[in-house]
Amino acid sequence: MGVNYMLSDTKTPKQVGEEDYTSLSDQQLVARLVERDPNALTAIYDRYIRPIYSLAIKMMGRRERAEEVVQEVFIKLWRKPYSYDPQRGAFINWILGVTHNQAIDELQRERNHERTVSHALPVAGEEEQSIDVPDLSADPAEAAWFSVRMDIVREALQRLPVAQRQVVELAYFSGLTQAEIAVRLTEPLGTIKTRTRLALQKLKVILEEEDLRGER
Amino acid sequence: MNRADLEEKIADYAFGSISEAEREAFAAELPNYPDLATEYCTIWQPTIESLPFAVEPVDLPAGMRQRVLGAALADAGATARATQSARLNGVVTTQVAIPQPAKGTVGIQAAPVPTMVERKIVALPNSWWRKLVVLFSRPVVALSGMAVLLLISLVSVGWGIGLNNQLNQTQAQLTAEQQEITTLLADHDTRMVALQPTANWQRGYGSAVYDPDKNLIYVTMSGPPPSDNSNCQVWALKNGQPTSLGVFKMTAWDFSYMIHSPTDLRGYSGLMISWEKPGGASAPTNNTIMVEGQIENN
Repeated sequence: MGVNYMLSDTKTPKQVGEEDYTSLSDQQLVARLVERDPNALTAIYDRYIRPIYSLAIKMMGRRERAEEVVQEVFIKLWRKPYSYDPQRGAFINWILGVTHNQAIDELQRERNHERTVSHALPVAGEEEQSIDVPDLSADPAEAAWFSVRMDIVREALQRLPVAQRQVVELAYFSGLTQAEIAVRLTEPLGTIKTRTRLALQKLKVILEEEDLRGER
Repeated sequence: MNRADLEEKIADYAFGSISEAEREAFAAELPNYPDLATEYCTIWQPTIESLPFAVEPVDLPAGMRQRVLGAALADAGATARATQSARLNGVVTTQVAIPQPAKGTVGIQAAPVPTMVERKIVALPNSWWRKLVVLFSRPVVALSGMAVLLLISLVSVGWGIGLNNQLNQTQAQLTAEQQEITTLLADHDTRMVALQPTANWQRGYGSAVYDPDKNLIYVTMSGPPPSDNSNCQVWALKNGQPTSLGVFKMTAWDFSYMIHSPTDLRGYSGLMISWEKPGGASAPTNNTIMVEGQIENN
């Protein structure tokens, strides 16, 4: 019959003839998702869960709420993988965008219900609680790319004036509108809008410089 | 929206903090102002897309992999099942495996095939009633729906009462199944298994979520159902020997099924599914369609 009955209870090495999903591109994996292949979902999870979860916990503040966001992201991905359009950019940007939108929806829903102060960002020196579990994603090339990209973006943010960095972080990670940021910082709305626009323009220039430097 | 509105909202749109309706209105209007569209596409969007990379990576919670993937796959299974029920024309059937206690020690011999009981819910008169059945699977709707049904039953003496009972039965059945799936997924001992298709079922995919302590297995399959009257039989493997866990009829491309295993799942090292004659076989024949690819112990 050719069926191997002996199977271990840990992540098994590939068997003869078994497809290596780690070698498939994001686009190929999404195509498999459209065909309802659960192994493709698992492969995408393993490839990108760390940045997805890291973003979710940064925005949501607590592990349980971050996990809810991650769960919704993967349910959406499994339900409608065709929502991703490769013409519009890299899959990683898209899935992180989905995560961001999901987290913002949750934060806004919470604010609408409770009208409480959001969790906002951890203040300087206050890091998120993490749980000591080894990372499952193991592609060294992928990890190296992430590491370089992270360094570039963090460096770029650090080079912004503090006030500009603050509005960007409140808008992106806390999901606050420009008006809400103005209230939070007790500054005129027009000032916040101008500051945000300047911050984005400057950030773009810095990122381009850093990208160029990285390429050299 | 006019230009002033777009300028007013561009930051909130770019950061994703405006309502869905505003988002759609903004996106529809933006192309009418090429300078703003260019600013959005060259400055706002690519810069904001970079921001997630500023986040310090954190370690992943224990068991999250199983919970997240299990929930995603089970959600699709539940949806498929609801759709499948709604699609059925006239007859709604569900199958429940009734576990039989093992009689004596059977060593490594295959365990008895669990008895199958098919519950046939009589033909529903029209699509309106079938929609009610599906609607009743939602607990929130259930109470108000019950009141409506009660009223209808009083007016429609005789068959109305019968229908009420049948719908209640369906609702209870679906609700119990949903609760069971939720409990299974919430349990930290739950494991998720990817099932690899064999050459006998090349277009198929599947997965299973199971709890070895509760002896529950939730199988989700996607692929062509058997063209004949074969049943799917699920087997647990120990030392290379299969033990039957249950038999069910796959009736749709996307199909899910909850199995109450008659045997203790602890100590077993794998799962497989085969197509067998109706009612199942005492040992797998040559029609294995899926075997376990991975068991994750996150």
